[in-house]
Amino acid sequence: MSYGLNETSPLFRAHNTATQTGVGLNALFNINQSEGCEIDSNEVVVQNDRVFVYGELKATNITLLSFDIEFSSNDSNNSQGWQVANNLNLWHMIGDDGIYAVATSNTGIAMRQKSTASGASSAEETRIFGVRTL
Amino acid sequence: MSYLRIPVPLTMIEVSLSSAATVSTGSMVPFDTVRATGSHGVTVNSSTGEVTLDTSKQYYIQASVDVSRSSTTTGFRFAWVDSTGTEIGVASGGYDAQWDYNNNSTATYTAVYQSTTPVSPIRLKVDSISASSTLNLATKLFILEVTA
Repeated sequence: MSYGLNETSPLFRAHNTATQTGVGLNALFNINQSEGCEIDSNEVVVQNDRVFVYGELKATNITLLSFDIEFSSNDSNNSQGWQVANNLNLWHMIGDDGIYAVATSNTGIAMRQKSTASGASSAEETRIFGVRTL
Repeated sequence: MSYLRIPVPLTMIEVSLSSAATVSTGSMVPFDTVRATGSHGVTVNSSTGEVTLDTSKQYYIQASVDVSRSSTTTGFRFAWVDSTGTEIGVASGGYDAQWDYNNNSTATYTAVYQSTTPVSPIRLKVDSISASSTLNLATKLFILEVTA
């Protein structure tokens, strides 16, 4: 792990503080608070770093039983995760609750909605944690 | 083009339970075992589950929760608290693990505490759960300790 001269830690984090409703396909989940990184248009911005990032999302009122999320970055490295809703039918189990990715330099990292029909869903909390590993 | 980087020492630490525990709302997770990849500043109080951190270091702490609920029609929530029992909120780097029953919801299965200026000690509190549920051995803390 390491950090740059203009940084104070290899660790960074970001999250959203308000419930986001009506998250549509390919839309970015909001993030509005951060420590150790900058936020630009719902993207975590880390410059001149190689980073490992981990994210989680808590969502409600999911119209599909699955809820797919993706880390996307402007270096074209994408990593997908998958969350499965709790529901009354009981046969669905949680498959992959988190999302992981490795991204490289000058990266803007965002969590993107990848389900096909969850426009009525609400993202209660979006979390992104990262470490600089270069 | 090149740029300067400051390398930092890193230790990985696992904190776990030596036996399953019965918990109810308000219980503290009784962590009692530590193992690590090298020297570190983390200790646990095996009587209380209290985790003491070295406040001169920086931490990423991920708690994975494995619980057998005594009632299958209830959810659960685990959250970080400080020495006074006050919850450590997201503004201070404390993120809960929460699952709501019967709400078509996804969960946050990991409770994270990440801080460059950590408070110490901390505990993982069972904020809500059906009474006399079982906390299983897979409940663990994974800690990255950074000397920055």
